[in-house]
Amino acid sequence: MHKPLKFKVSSALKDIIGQDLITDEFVAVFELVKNAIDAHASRIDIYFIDIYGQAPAIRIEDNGKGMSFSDLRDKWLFVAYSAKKEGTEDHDYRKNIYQNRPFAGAKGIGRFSCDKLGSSLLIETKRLKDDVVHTLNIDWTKFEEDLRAEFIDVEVDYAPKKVSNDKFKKGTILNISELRTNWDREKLLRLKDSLAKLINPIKGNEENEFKIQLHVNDELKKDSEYDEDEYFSIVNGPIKNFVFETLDLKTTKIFSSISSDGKYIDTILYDGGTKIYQIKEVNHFRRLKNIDITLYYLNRSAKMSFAKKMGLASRLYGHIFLYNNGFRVFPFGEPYEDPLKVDLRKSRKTKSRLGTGELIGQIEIFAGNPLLKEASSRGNGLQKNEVYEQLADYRQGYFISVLERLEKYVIEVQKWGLSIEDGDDTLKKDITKLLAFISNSKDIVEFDVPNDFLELLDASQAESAEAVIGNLNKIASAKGDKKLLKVVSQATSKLKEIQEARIEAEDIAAKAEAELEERVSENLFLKSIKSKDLEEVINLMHHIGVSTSTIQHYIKGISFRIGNDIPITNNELKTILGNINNEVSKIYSISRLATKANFKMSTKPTYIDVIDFLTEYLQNVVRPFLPSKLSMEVKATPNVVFKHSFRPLELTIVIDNLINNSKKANAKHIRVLLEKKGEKLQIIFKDDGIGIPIENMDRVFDYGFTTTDGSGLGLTSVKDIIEKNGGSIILNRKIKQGAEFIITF
Amino acid sequence: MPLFKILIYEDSDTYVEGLKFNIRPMLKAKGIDLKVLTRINGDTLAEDMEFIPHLVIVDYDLGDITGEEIIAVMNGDPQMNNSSIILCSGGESRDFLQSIADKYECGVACYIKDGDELANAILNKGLSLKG
Repeated sequence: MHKPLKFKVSSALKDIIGQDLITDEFVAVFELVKNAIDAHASRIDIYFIDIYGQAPAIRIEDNGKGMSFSDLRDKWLFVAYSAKKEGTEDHDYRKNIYQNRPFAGAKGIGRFSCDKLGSSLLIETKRLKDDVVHTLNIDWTKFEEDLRAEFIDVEVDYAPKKVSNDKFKKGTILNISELRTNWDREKLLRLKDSLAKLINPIKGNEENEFKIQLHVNDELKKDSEYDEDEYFSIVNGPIKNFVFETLDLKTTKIFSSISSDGKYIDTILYDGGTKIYQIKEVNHFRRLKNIDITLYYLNRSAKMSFAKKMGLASRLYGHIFLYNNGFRVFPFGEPYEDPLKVDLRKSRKTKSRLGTGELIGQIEIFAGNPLLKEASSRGNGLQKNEVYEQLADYRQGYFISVLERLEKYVIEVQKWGLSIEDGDDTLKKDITKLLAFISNSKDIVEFDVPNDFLELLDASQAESAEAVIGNLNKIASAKGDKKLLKVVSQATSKLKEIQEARIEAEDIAAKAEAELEERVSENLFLKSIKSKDLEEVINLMHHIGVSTSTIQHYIKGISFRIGNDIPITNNELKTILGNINNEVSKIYSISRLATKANFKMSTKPTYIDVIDFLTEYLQNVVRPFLPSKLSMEVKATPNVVFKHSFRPLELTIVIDNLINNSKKANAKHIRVLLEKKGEKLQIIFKDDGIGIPIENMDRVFDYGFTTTDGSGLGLTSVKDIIEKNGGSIILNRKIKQGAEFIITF
Repeated sequence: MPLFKILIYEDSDTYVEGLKFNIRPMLKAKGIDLKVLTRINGDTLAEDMEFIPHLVIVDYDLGDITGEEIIAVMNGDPQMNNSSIILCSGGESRDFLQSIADKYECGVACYIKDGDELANAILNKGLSLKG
């Protein structure tokens, strides 16, 4: 018969379960803090000693229950054994104060964090009832000397010591020396930041069961340069977590909680301080219970507020943290880490998803989820199993379902930026749609509507309002929820009122629109003379000033040339006189428009509806000034618009000149027809005056040609203006009586 | 023959034509040539400055903007160190124009368009080129 064999364990195990598993010094410190808390410490003091000197050291003191000799020998030195896991830890304490708090570190390897920090460890530990301090001196380098040496053969030094310090009543002190890395101010501030995230921000800084204090004498002087409230710049002092205090009021947030029996999920969504909805629904994540998720959406304003208060940008602080039994699990929430695949998910649909850069929050796992536990390698999150997948699967896990609800509100309702607190009606309408969508789920067992639900209905579309009321009625009836039934009844009455009011409003609006259409055409020119804004009159006077100055310049120019025998050609003279005539026409038009024009007369081209402009001008400005024996008819194709770029004043000069010609031709009636022909506008100006003899028809537009006592410049100006504006004017030669001009644009 | 360069911000082209018609022969009689660049607004101000005018005439009422906006841009611009600026108007009073001009350090002379003063000021500036 063969002798049975046994495993041998190399001393190299120390590194495998120590340094190699503890990913960095920050993880190491907080593993040790975790152990202290599990030892029921209410206070942990972390000292960094002589960090810039020859013998830097770290001392971690706690006021926990301490260890006896047998605790040291049979538990602390028993690698991978965890009394916490076995349940033998605190069998006497469990009945007392701390029985509700499960243990955070239960692997039995956290003690090797000391090795990560320094190669020499002196443990001093004492229980309340003991009169000696048990000390254990470990030189970790001994485990590194010979890999063939067995782990269990490497000796550690134990010695009991009489209590020399009355103040040390109970607890454990870890003195770590021969530090493996340097510590400086920047690293200490990062440690402080890392430890802050250890503290559950939901509970608030004063309610946490334990306090962590950092002591670094070497940084006291530098700390004194800062004000007390510059928390993030000071090394020494208590560790606090302000993150949710910073955020609480300003952002959109969602809270979701799976009940302790795993049957239901409660969810509340807030927009700033306003509750949008609160629901209770059946939990389909059967393997999960007693889990809370809190998520805040960081819009631009929230990010700025965060950075101002926290002293660093939110993306550098972190995003979605995970706490397991009160302790933070790395790397959840670490900047640039994405264990929940939030950014991966966003990259597949950027516009309709939120990323870690827009979120801050946490997942809290409480007792009742034994299969949600940390991976052996600290800093690698939780162990991957079916329960973890129900929590964290980025397609259909519980966390994502909460995130989707937040996204639905932020993206579809707030459109990334609106807030119900701004009183926006579009948003209110979209909220009702959202409520209709959510309340439609068969899993909903309770639904708490927002306080201003009835106000929301005011701004909603009838369809959404009816849908949400119908759904709420179903939920309320199924549950016998009298409070909700009352809300439904109120909402139904309110909706009926709203619908009746809307129908009435629509009738009024239709009538008003018809009236308005009639009035719009009266808007450009006033029917009657009335006092005008001083500004308008000044504007028109300006035009008169410009016109008269222009005429003055021409007159002076002519005078100078005549006086100095500078020749002026006939062509030059024609141009000058034509320009003078135009300016005179403008003054004449302005003198009539000064009290009537309801628009700013500009000498620059203006994009106007020519049909509307001319119709109003003829009816409201020209007609009142016609002689009593001259009537005018204006006809325009109804509901037709022709927009063109004109100087309004020039358009009036065209009409004025044509009217003047009709007057001189002793016309009794003028007819103006404005018609749109395809893309063109045709203006037909006809009078029943003496007409134009055939022999003169070719010359009517010639410069200076006249058969009356006029200047002969009118029709020339008219033709110039029309052609300058891209149109044409012809005389209709087929007319037997009077004169007809056809203008086309 | 010296060339007198005027940059004029004026939205009435007939006014500019009238002004040129008036002053050109007077300048020419004194042996000064005239070149005028007309703009109806300040949209191309930076480019306009490259004309390096001896005189900038700015109409106060330019429709959508006021001449003051143009003067505000020119004020303090080193490119304007060798240019004179006139602010004029056909509708505003001289006192009003002066109250605008006094806000700026670049030294703006003010004239109403009515009468001979503006044309005379322009002519004097042109004649100063001859030394």
